[in-house]
Amino acid sequence: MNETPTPQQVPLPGFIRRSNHQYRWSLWITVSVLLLQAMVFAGTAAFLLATIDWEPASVFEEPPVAVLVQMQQALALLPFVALVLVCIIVCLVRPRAGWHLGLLTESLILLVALQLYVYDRDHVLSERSLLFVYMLGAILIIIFMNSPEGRLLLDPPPHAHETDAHPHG
Amino acid sequence: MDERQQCDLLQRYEPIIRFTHGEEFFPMDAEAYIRACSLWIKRPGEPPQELAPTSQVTPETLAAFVADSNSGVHYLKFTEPLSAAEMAVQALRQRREGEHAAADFQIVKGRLVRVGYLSRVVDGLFRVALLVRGRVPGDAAAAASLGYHTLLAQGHRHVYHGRVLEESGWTVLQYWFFYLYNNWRSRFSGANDHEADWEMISIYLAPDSNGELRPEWVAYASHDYAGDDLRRHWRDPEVEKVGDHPVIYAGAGSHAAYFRAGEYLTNIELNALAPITRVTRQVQRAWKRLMREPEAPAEDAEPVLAIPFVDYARGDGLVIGPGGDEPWAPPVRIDETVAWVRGYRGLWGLYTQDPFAGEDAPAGPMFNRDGTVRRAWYDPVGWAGLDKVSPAAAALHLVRRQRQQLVDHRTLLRAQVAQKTAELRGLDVQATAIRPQPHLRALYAQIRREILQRSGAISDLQAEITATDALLESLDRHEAHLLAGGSPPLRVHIDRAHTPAALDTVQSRQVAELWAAISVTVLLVAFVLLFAFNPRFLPVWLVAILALFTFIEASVRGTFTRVVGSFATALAIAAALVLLYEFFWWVVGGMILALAFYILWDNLRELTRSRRG
Repeated sequence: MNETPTPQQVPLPGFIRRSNHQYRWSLWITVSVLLLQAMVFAGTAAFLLATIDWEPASVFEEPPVAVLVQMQQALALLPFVALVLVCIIVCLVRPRAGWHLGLLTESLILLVALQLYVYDRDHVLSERSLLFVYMLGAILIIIFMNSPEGRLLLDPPPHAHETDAHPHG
Repeated sequence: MDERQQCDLLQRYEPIIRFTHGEEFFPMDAEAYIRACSLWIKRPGEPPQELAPTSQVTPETLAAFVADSNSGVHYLKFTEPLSAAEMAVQALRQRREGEHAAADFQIVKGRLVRVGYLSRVVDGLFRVALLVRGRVPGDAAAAASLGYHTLLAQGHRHVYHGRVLEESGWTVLQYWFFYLYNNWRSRFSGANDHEADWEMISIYLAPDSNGELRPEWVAYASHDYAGDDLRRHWRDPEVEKVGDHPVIYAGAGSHAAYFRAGEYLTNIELNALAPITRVTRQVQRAWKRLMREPEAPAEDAEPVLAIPFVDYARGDGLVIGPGGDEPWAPPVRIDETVAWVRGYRGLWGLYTQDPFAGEDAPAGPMFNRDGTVRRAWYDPVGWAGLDKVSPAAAALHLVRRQRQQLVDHRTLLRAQVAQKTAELRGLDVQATAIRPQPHLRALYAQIRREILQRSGAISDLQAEITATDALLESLDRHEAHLLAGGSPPLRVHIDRAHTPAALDTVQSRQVAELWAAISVTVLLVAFVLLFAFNPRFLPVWLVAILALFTFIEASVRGTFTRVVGSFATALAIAAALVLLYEFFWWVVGGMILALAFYILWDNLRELTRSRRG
């Protein structure tokens, strides 16, 4: 019987260490894109609130429709900001649960966006151009999270001893 | 082989049947049943008519009655409606026995857990349909049980009907088991009930090197399985044996035969729904490819619109056969010369006119319900997929003969190659000679075409020679394996093995079972409420409710990750289509620009490298 080990069986030299970089990269990319999405939502809401022209509202007894629409558009974004922030925290603490919650959140964003696209013809709840930006963002995040790199979060995180020890030794 | 020898052979390999605790009906003499029946006919558009009362029907006269009236469906009728008193007696008896049986027999409730919503809906409709389609009356099982006990009290014993025949080098022993009643539905939550039940197993013997008959294969008839999947090698570990007697685990109520003890999930697909099933499967396959999920083998594919039933073949009840609780009576030999076997094509019990035929009684051992001869009867070897298999003792001879044929064929091919090569070279000489002459250009072109054609033909022959060489090498190895006394592969012929169901794949089984039981009703009620209140965004609410139910279902079945990924991807595709619709030319322009810049970047990188080099 041939006792010569195959190349895969030869122990790696001591200075070569297995890396968990890929897992960490996946985690940080996921967290980063979710954070970016939360910032876009929050920034848009802040911009909308900041650019409301309060003067007519103070002049008239009832605030004009334009002011109400702009407030609605801003306030509608806040629950999504909170939800995405929760996703980020869960991703950091429990990546697997975070992956599921992240996809569910993106699904919810798309579901609401599609609903608004179909029904909100008067643009009461959303500005059409912003809506397309939200949809594009959610699509890109879903593509990444469903990719082999994104799905790494479904695996258990590599332990410290696996990263430093000789894996084949 | 004379009758005595046939009976000896049948008894030598007669099977042992292990029944499930709670089974009520056991194999009995079909002739005793015939004598206890009346004969009826149902002509189209007419009410059933009695052809002969119980006292006149005998195994000898049965065929004669049928010969006199050919139109319509003939059927035997064993049970008569019970009077109130008889029902009460039977109920008391069953309760007395049931108290004892219930302690050991527990129905597994997991059948609906294993299938999706659509199958559960179809299952519900199937059960509702029993109210309107033809079925065996509710008191038939009780009446059959009473009648069966009366026959037992008259001294009837457990009997099988044996048939011995020779076909294609095999000696086939067929064991036919007749049961008075199939109470799979009424007692074991199965698919159907019907009067009379014929089941069969076959053992295939062939002469060994000493000329003595030895069993090599065994096949058990079981629901919708056919061909290679039915049979096992005699030495297959799955075939349990006590001495020379194979062991059968009989399904409770259905009496289907299994090789191993267990609870078998049988999915019955309705033919009317087959096109929907096919389309759904194709969509599922395409979606799995999109999601880069591994495709499950056909046998593991989840049923789409099938109704699930569990066949309990636990083997913890009565054991009939050598060494069992009760022995077999001497076999009743049957063949085409027996009058009731050949002459009676009708049904052996109540004809319920069920459009699915599941509640109609079966025909005899020789016939299908429509009167045609069963394949298991006229071609028992082909029925088990054994027509292509040679007996073990003849295998070596067959291998050598096949090898010699291949060697001869290869010699012929080589001669053809040599001849065609010589012809090809002659053509090439001609082409070389006429090439520089302009007035022979047309002839030159013709010769070139012929050269190409013949060269291709020689290449095909060489490929065939190479394939033949590889085949010969394999045959040589197989011959050496046989000469060394090696056994043939035992299970490679099995494509879809029926294996006992395991419930450990279902998470939180009790919760899953409860959910499976109530989910369809809850979903339908939710839909009704939704339409009643008719909210502003109805389609979105419909999607939301469906998604909620799908996620709950996925959680209890352990497929949450897959469903979440699929749901998100589906929404992403829908949103992407919206964006494509709104920004089509922008998208096209963007893609062209991206392509242009990529080409530029790639070219510049190549240019930079070549300069450095």
